[in-house]
Amino acid sequence: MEKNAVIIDLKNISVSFDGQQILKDLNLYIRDGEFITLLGPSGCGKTTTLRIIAGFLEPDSGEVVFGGKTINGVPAHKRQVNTIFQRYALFPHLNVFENIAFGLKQQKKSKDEIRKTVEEMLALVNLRGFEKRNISSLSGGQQQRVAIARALAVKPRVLLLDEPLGALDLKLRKDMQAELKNIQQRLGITFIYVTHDQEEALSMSDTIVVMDGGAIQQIGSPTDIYNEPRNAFVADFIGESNILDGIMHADFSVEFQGMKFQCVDKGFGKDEPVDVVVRPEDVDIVAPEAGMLQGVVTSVTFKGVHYEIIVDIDGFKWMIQTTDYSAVGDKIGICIKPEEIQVMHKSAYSGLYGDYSSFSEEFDELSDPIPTAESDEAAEE
Amino acid sequence: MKRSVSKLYTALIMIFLYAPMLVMIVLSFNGSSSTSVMSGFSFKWYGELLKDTVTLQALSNTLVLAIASSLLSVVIGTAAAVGIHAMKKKWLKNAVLTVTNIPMMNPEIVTGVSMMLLFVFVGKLVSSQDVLGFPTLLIAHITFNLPYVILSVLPKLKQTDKHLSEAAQDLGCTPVSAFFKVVLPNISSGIITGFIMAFTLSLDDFIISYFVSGPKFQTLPIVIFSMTKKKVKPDMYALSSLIFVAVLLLLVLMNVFQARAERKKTQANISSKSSSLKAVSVFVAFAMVVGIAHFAIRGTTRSRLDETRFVSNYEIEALQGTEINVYNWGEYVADGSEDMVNVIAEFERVSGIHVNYTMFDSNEDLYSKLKSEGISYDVIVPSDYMIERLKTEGLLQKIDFDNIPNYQFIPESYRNLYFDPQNEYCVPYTGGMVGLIYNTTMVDEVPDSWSIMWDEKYANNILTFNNPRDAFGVAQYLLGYSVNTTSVAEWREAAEKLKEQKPLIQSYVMDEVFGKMESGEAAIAPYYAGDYLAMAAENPDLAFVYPKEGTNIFVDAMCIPANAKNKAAAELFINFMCEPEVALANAEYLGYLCPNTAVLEDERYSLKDSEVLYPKQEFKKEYFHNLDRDTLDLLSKLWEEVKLT
Amino acid sequence: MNRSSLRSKLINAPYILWSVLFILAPMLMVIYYAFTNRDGEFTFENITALSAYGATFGRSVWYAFLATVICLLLSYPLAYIMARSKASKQRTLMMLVMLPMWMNFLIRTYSWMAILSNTGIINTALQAIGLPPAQLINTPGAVILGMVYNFLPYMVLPIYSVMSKLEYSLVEAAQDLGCNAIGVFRRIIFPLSMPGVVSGITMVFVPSVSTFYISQKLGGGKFLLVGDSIEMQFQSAYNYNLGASLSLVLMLMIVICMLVMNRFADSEEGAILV
Repeated sequence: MEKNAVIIDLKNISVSFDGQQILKDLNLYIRDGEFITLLGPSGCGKTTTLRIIAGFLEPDSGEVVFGGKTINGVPAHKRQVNTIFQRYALFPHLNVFENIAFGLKQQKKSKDEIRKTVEEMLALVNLRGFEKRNISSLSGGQQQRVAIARALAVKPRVLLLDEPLGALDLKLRKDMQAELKNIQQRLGITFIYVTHDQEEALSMSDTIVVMDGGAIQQIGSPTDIYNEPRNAFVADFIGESNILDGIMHADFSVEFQGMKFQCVDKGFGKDEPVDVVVRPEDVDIVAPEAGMLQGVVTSVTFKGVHYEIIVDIDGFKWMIQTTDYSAVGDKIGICIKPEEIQVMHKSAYSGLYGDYSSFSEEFDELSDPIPTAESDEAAEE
Repeated sequence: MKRSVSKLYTALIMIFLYAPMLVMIVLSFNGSSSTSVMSGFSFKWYGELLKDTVTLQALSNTLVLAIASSLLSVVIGTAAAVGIHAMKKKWLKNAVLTVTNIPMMNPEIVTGVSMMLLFVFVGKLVSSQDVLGFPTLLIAHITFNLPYVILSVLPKLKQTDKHLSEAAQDLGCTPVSAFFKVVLPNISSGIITGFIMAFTLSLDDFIISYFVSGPKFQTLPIVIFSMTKKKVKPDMYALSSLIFVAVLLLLVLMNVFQARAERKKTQANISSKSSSLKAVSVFVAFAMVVGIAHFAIRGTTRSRLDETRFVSNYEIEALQGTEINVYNWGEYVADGSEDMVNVIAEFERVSGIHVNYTMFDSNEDLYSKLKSEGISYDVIVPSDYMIERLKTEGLLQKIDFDNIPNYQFIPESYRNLYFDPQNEYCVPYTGGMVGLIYNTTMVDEVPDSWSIMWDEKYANNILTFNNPRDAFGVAQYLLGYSVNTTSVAEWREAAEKLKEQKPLIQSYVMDEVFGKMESGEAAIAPYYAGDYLAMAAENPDLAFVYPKEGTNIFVDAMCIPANAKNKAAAELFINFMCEPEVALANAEYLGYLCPNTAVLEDERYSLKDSEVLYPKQEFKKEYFHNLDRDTLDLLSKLWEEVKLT
Repeated sequence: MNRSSLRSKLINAPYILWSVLFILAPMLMVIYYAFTNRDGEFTFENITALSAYGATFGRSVWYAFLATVICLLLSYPLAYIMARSKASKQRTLMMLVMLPMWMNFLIRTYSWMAILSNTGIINTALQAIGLPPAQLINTPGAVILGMVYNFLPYMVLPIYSVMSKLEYSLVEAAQDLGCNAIGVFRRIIFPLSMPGVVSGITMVFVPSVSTFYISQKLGGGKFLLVGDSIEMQFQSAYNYNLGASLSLVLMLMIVICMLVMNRFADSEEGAILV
């Protein structure tokens, strides 16, 4: 993908509400035509960032630059960005046509032009023939499409999407992901996408911005983010990770669980304590005596393409994804290739994640919920 | 099944709501002037209504005020609700909401009096003597409407997705236009509800309006309540019935049109916004039609006064085109109904002076207004004890009796009265005495004493005054005490007497006495002699007696307040009211005692020989005097004790 | 700080100014009167004098409470029926509920007297079918009926207004989750209509407590309510000071009643009240 000029540049943005800091000195630039995703848990400041770009919120300090011009203080209606709201915010008193035409009428476009654009937009989102329908008579997916059509009708340079698929069911969400990506590529406009769903972020984005606690944790392409997480938070938030305490003895040599491993990382201080990330799918199971480490299987779950097994190795619970079956109670050995070991500097997140001793799938789902109205508001205010 | 249950339920509630309306409509066709007993069918009250210029003027005033105040309160209230809704600081929000509720929590009279005091205070700052009027009424109405509007709009705002406004701004609306295009349509039903509530409240408010209104702008409720010393005139029933039927028709029409429109575009959704806007506009149009109709009706009153004898006295060029503010009791002047002269219209015609005629229903109300000094009247008609109080407090000015040649008709017995021993301040207008009214079919004996009101035989059939002074009076006559005593012991004894009486009392009444005595609901009641005549016309079984222990006599007299602006015209008016022809018309209309020798000697005066009004035998009668404050406090405390037993 | 807060200040400013001028200023006057005697000297006399009014206050609150409960019970189903009807019918019903209140209060009340009195319509009808007459007028029941009649629309409208926006799919969702009709009502409809109910309770309870003409006309003047006492102090007794202290305490009591009610209602809705 060709990298274009920077269209939005956020410089040293800080925001706080009632003494609570929501964004801390945030810096972020966004290139024209890019599909960028702000990813993070509820309350990480991603929605706030979006609202600052949209103009619904003025930062306490810092600069918002759009196309080379500072736009602090420019009200929302004068900005060339449009938003797709989390719960769509369709106008209940207007029908589908009137909703999509809303922004066009505001621009004082001619009737014919409006009609033409609305038809185009309805075609774009596969809703031909829905013009006269009442908003309340539409399904969630249809409402979502109307919201997209409404925002795109005014031809924004940047489209902001605030968890747009959060309220849809899984199947529909997958379809819409593909469709959104498709639309973005066809129209070539910048999408700034906010989500807490890492899978969504990985599959759609050109660039992912991982946020937590009002600060950016890592910016990078989906593969960068996945393969080379910068800290324990990113490693844990994106995909599954075994995160272990380690010591970097020298370049390409790291020790964890009492064993020295070869790795591909370098540039750490001598004997620097580090976090070591090993993805579950990168661990090979071998006979106990052939393994670099040995442990006992404590749980096995069949996942279709693979088994997910938890192995207790000296008290640390590893998660391993493998196609080979092992039974609970089996003693096994594991092998890890040097390139599968990712070494990170210690951070504030060290020790918080990456041990599967209390792992349960349900719990994982629960801790990663679709934000409710309240948590959403809390995040904004 | 379920649908029929809900239909039945709705029907039952509607019956509950509309039963009184039905009674009202039936009574509006009453052949007599009773508002409780139906005797014959007639349209006469509708005819009377058309001639009643004061009422019709008040009706259009009421509509103007109700529409203006409800529209303005909707605008201010909606803005306030939006502001309150957006408030982030919880304590501030709660504080504002608490303040919002105050006008609802305050008893109306407190709001009324305190606002009057405030307006008068502001008026004094800008040294205006006529601060009370339409603007103050409007402010007061908006103030008590606001909480209702805010409380209707706020829940709607809560229901509205807060991102709607942002979405509209995102699509290019300024925050202001986003509000009008997106938020407003979504809270419109709350706004409409608020508007209707505000309109309804404003339409029927009496107490607050009373205190903050001025001499030039009187609303319908003020007119109706001012009649409660005498009796609510049945043409009010006719008026209410007309309004009721008109609005009902309008509703039906609107429904028919709506149904037709809906059939036309079945698929297309009709946005509720347009239809509710339609409802409001139809409604405003209706109000305008009523207003216009009223102006068309104006001027249909015909003159019947033979003015040739005196008209020259009133053609005073210097006064023509000026105006006076007259403040009188309700139903206290011949108003052109029942084929009588419209006295006020006649005065305006012969003198060229415009009269702002407004009404009160108690001396105390009059006093509060006068005392506030926020308003200037030229002629007022207080009763004896109130004249004494007003005079002592310097609120009256001396009348130049040279300008009132008709004072010659005031009989000796009505001169040099205790409250005006030198005949300087007042010209008696009317008077009367309290007596005992009883129903001969329910009372076997011919009572001659107040003691019958303590007779257990008539338990639950006795009415008495619902005001402390008159109610205590009855006990005091019976005990042989003065009604003006300052002896605490005597007051207490009278209170004990009243407590003893309470179990026998059916109800404490003022103007309700008419209905209750006319319909035979109660057997015995003390009331004014002149009013007995009106009751007896409806129910021939009623009889009247002046008890032997003595009774109260009152005189209502015309006075000029100290701050009157047009004294010369006021004197001209007073003189006109003493004009034999005018006094005769008033005497016939009021049915009260007439202090005018020319009338008393006039063959045409139908009540001339009335034993009730002009008893031949002498008996003890006593005027009320102004009580000192301690005694007043004692009286109200004792009265509450009586009521609480 | 920024544009939006400036804007919200601009929106609030007129109303806050209005409140200060026309609500708080007169209110201060009431407070001033309540704590001074006739010569304008500071005193607690008016407050201590209130001890005699315990029964009156108690009765007023009790009657107003009953009237509010009855209004709620009568209004709620009606509001629900209204909200479920066709749009055009909704408006008609709303107007039908309000229309009687456009007639003069006195005339409405006199009509009730004609219906309830011993020689009135109901008793005449009872006698016609051979039943003994009932004492209807001049009873506490008649006073409460008068309150219910006069304030019923102020309960119906806010509840209706909220319910008309309630999505029917929520009811279906609840049924889907195994709620029976009662469950749907208790767990879905009622909680969601709370803002309207709370508004309605305020708009009925508050004026009921301070009303005075109703008790005079329908109660035969025998059931003194605090509104009557206040009216008397301001009028025949011309004792503004005692009247002001009475109304101050009345207001305080209303606030307390509302706070107690807020305990039952959700905090967020409760904010509407006090």
